[in-house]
Amino acid sequence: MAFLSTFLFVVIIIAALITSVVASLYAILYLKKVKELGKSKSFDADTVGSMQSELRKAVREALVEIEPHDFADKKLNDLIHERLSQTLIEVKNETLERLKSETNDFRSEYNSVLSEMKDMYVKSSRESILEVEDILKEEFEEFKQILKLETVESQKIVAEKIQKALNDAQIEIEEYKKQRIEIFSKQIAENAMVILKEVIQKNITEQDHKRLIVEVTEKAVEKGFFKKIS
Amino acid sequence: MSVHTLYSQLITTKDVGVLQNRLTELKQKIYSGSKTLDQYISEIFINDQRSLFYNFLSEKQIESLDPVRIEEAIDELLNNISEISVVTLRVAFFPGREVLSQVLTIIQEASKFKTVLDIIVLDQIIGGAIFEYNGIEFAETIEEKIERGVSQ
Repeated sequence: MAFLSTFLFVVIIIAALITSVVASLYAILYLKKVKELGKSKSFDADTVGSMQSELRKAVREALVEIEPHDFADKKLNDLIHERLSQTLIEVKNETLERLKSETNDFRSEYNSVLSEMKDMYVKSSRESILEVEDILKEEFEEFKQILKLETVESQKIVAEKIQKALNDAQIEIEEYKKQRIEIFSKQIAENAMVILKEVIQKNITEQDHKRLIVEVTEKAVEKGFFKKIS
Repeated sequence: MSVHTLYSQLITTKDVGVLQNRLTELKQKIYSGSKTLDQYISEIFINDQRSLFYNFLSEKQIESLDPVRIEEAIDELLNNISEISVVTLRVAFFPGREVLSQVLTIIQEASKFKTVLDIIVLDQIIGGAIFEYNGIEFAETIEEKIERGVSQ
């Protein structure tokens, strides 16, 4: 009887150990899975919750494995239960601790990466802005220079055109002046003649007229004009 | 009395025209018969011209007022008149028959031909005269002298 009891106890212990080992293996597998998930840097609250749920499920399954066995000794049974539960709780806590640690590490690393990325982005942005500023400045200077050159060239062309227009205008003015002077001279001569004629006409007498006609006739005779008459 | 006596009164082309008209009129009335030739001559020719015409007939020995001979004499006169030379004279105003007669005498002495003057009055001449014969001019006017002076 005593031997049987001892044997059963040993068997139970072995079963408990096997159960613990299986639970540990489950835990290790979950930890590995968590690590893999950590590597993928995709932990979040839902993932952690899911892992805890899986862990609890594994503990329950382990207990179910143990419960069907018929313990002769209630005291021994309770002891096994108690120790097994304690062991599982410890495993659970340890797993959670590890998970928490891993999660914290991941968060920290994630934050670090984010911060680094942010710094890099800021730095890159600043450099890009500076670079763009430099390019713009350079292009602006180039544009200013081209504009300056074109302005000088345009001013030259405009000045030449103005000078040409001025010369043409001066020639036209001179020509116009010449024409006007000629017209004025002609008008003055005509007016002078009209005035002179009027003055002579008013002052010439009938006797003068008659005398002039006879004088002209005598001159014509002198010139032999009337010898042409036949 | 020579033919020249009758022509002596002809100074201008207007005089020539008047004489031609009178001679033509007389020629047309010679054979009308309503009046005597003396009556017609007295009506048509006036003053000196009438006596000159009679002198002309006398010179031609046409004493009896024979219509046929008178007609011949008129034709001769018209023929001679048509052959008179015409000199155009442009002047500022009509100078009167005395001056024109003086001018014509000078011209005829120089040319030795019976001549009459075609008088044209032009205001712009001012003073002096322009003679023209057969398209050739001789001008001596105050206007011309002024224009020459102004242009110089």
